[in-house]
Amino acid sequence: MNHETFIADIAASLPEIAGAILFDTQSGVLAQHLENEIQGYNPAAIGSKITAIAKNAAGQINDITTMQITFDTMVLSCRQLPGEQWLLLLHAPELSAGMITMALQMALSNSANEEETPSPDFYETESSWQEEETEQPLEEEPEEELAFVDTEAMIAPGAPLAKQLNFLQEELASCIGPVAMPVFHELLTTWCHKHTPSAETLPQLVDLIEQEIDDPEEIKTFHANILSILS
Amino acid sequence: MASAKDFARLEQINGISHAILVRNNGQVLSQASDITAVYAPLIAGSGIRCDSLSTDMGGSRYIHFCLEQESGQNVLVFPLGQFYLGIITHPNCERQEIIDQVVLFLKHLK
Repeated sequence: MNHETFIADIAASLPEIAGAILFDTQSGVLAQHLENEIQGYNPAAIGSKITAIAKNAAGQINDITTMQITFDTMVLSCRQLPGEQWLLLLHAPELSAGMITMALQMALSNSANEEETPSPDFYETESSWQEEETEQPLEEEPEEELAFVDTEAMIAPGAPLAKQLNFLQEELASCIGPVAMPVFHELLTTWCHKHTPSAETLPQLVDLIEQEIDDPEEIKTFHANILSILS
Repeated sequence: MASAKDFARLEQINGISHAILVRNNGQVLSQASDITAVYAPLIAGSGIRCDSLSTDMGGSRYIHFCLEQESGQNVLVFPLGQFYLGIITHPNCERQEIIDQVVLFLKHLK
């Protein structure tokens, strides 16, 4: 297969396609076509990250067909070809999976007489990387068996520290957003296992909470806001 | 503000099999199960790499990731700060409808 021709055919087949990359897991970028508006994109980095996602996923799932990542400006659709190659298409959200398959078939037909052309039904071929040695999954923290703590009861109206704890939870939410509640309950559990829950040990809970906030400025604001409940 | 129960409510949406909240280090915040143990590393690993793709794509903001399986199931990953929300769909569901509903759910939380 002539890589350049193959990618040029794909890119020319549909106006919604702004970029096409043929990436090989061993050799890197084999061919690329990027429209002017995405000339600043990094095809090599995109290719290596996509293949890393696929290898990582293959550790858990063995029947992956396609991957698609939606960004605010563009969609990145990824299909594996035989021989460790990946076709990565950057396109407008309107482009359907069916249209991509059609464009792929046309490009393959055009290069059918070339040596090493994959068969037209390659897109149905089972992925070879699924049998490869997979990348080590993210190292997980060892799970600690902790006794159950009824954190809901601790923040329920009338509970001794309810006012302070609800205030801390609200302040955490203003820093880290919608996941504050589950995070806060997890921290409450940790706090209860390490300390006797009381007004005196609240600073230790605050320390735990502050470790969940990334932005140093937000930590300062958080700390300033919650000082009143520590006194 | 979202609670763990709020996220679990996503599983009541037609077509959604599991909703799994994972920290970016792979730690699961949802209720532990065999399914969460299988999918959590995938959700965190995919989310982190999709986030980092932004720098290779002119600063484009990552909205969601979809992995299609031959079984018809989809794995969707949505970024939430230092967390990722993974959605496992039932086979042959209306994927875009589910994505729209999850996006709406997340908007209401913020």
